[in-house]
Amino acid sequence: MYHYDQYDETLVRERVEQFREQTRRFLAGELSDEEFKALRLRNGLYLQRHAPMLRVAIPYGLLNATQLGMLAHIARRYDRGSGHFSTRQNIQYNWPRLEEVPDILAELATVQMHAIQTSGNCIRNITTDHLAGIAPDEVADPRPYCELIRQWSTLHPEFSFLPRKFKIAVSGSPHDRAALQVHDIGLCLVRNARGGIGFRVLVGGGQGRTPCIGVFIREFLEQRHLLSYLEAILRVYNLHGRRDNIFKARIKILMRHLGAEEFTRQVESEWKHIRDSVLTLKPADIERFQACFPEAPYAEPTDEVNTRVEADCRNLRERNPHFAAWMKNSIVAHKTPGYNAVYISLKAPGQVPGDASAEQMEVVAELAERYSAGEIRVTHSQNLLLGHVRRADLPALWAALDKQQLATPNIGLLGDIICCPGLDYCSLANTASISVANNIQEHFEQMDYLHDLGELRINISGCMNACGHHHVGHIGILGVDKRGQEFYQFTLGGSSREDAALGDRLGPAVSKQQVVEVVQHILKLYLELREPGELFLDTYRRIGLQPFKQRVYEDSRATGSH
Amino acid sequence: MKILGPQGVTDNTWRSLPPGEQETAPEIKREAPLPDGDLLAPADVWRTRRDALLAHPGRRLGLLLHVDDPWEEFLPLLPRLALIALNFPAFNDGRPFSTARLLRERHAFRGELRAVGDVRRDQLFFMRRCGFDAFCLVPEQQSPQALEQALSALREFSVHYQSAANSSTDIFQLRRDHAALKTAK
Ligand code: SF4
Repeated sequence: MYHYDQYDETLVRERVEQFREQTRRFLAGELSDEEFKALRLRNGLYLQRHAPMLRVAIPYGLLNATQLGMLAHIARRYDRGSGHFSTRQNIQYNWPRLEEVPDILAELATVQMHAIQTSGNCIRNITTDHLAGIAPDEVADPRPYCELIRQWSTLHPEFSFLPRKFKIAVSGSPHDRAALQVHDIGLCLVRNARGGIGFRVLVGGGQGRTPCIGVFIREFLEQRHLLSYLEAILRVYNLHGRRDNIFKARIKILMRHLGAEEFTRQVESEWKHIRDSVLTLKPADIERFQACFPEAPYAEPTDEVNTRVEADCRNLRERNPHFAAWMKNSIVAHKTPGYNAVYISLKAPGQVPGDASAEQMEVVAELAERYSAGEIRVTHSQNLLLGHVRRADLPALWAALDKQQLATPNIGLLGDIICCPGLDYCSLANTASISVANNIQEHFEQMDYLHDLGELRINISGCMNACGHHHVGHIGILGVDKRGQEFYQFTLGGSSREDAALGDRLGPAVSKQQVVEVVQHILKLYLELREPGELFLDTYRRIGLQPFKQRVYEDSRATGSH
Repeated sequence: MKILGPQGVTDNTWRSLPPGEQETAPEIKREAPLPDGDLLAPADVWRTRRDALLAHPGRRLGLLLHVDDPWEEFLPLLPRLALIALNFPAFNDGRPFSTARLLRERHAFRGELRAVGDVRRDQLFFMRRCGFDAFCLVPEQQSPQALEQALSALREFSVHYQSAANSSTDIFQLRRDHAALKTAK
């Protein structure tokens, strides 16, 4: 993974000192709430419902064991012993003390981490595929480009006061695991007819109140032009994005206002001026960044070892149904023979989705050290992943994870709910999204087991801001407030993959007590009507919204009255 | 008002003309003689009184631009301008950062580029990187102590990743130089 050089280190250190001074001025009354707000947000610090919330950047979701150890230490020393991994591959602490935040940032800097631009109206943490560099279907490793963009966007002098927040995602594979199409900019690595590597560029996706699927504005951008093209897009947005209405300030609104064609014309015409400038990347620049992400030291096992390992795994699977379920669910193919990537579920029933205790983080750090080249990834579905596990080590790894409630075999299934913090922590929330997630997990654990529901993504947001990505859930659940009561609005058929779609609204919102029942109706109908091999999304796309609507609101009178 | 500029803290010597609409009827305004000294005129005054402004070759002239002004129409004027003041309507309105870079980098404006309006200490570093070289801070940050602090804000970072309008070398280039040096050895 990327290691800071002297320049990166200097910048982060100076940033910590700058923020220490800003915090001091605020506490001394020299800085108004409003001014401090703009500054602290740029360092990931919110003042929330109960206490400040600090969001620490995990650039493109990649951590080494030492860094995860530090995150555990911070959870223990400055928080109440846990951290929350977010849908943007970052980590959030919900109980730090404002006066201590500069110390936290200083501790993070010692392991080459920071909280720069994890919030505020600026370019946020760059996200990517959690299988970057190891997926068999990859065109090129997206991480060197993510790091390039991270550096270019860090304290960008021109783009630090944008109309609104700005999110960029990069995927190295045609199979989109980074939700490109709901980002302000989505970059997909592709190969052109001559074999050259470049990007397909998408602009104007987003979630929130006005969810949009982005539009591809360029089919092929040579990699050396990456930064100049980004700069052109950002400049058009910075100059022309709306600033009078916070709900109309994202680039998706500008793009729809101008029309994709006119927007693209403006970007291209701006780009003409800067495409051959200091922003042009030299081959050596790109190579330098690529060299920062070497292959893990894989040892290709001999056939003999392979046969033995497979036999061992098979034996254990036969003897131990838990291990068998985990092997079936939590293991992913790896481009190197003899290796797997392994998901670590942070969705054990009853747990806050995405939360990990300090102890769990330490155990994972240690396991990564022992079994996975010392590296950990955070997925955008709020789980962790070890990227380089020898198949021979799977049984031992499973046993260690299982002891920590980290081996729940529900990855990609009903129990793997994406959920925002909601009322428990977020000051904007209408509803307690976490308790809804827990109710669903609890209720359907058995059903999933019995019926093998297959891939199913349930996403829950506590308010219209959509941090729980409800628009792109196969089943999306949005918390709304109706005269002080919590209600929940369902959408069906969303997806954040390469077949991206926004969910269709099922009908009127239902009360909190009815949520589980509605999910039950939806799943039962799916089970009745699915054809062999069909996943929920397939069935939904085939039969459409109407049958679900009818089942939930008409056939079952209980939910019909609202 | 004090100005923080390349020479440190100085008094503002420029005289600002009020926007045209707020003056008396346009016919009279067009007749009225312009005051002496260095004049900073907003875009609409430049439109109505361009000839009068340009009539005295010895006088230094400035243009005040608000974020909604179509500033491109004044590009032909750049060689005659000793000062462009870009107004920040709010602390968090980032448009003038782009305008500043374009004026400096694309249109080679070499005069003084001054940040006015809601200008506060914590934006100065970014402003200077975008090509501003003079800053008129908000009234509550005009005390000698506050101005001293503002000067130190310009030194908060010793490195940066982006090449922008000020001349210091960016990290990407520093790395290239470093690599070249290593191969040379
Ligand atoms: S979706 Fe709403 S409630 Fe949930 S974290 Fe975002 S702002 Fe808070």
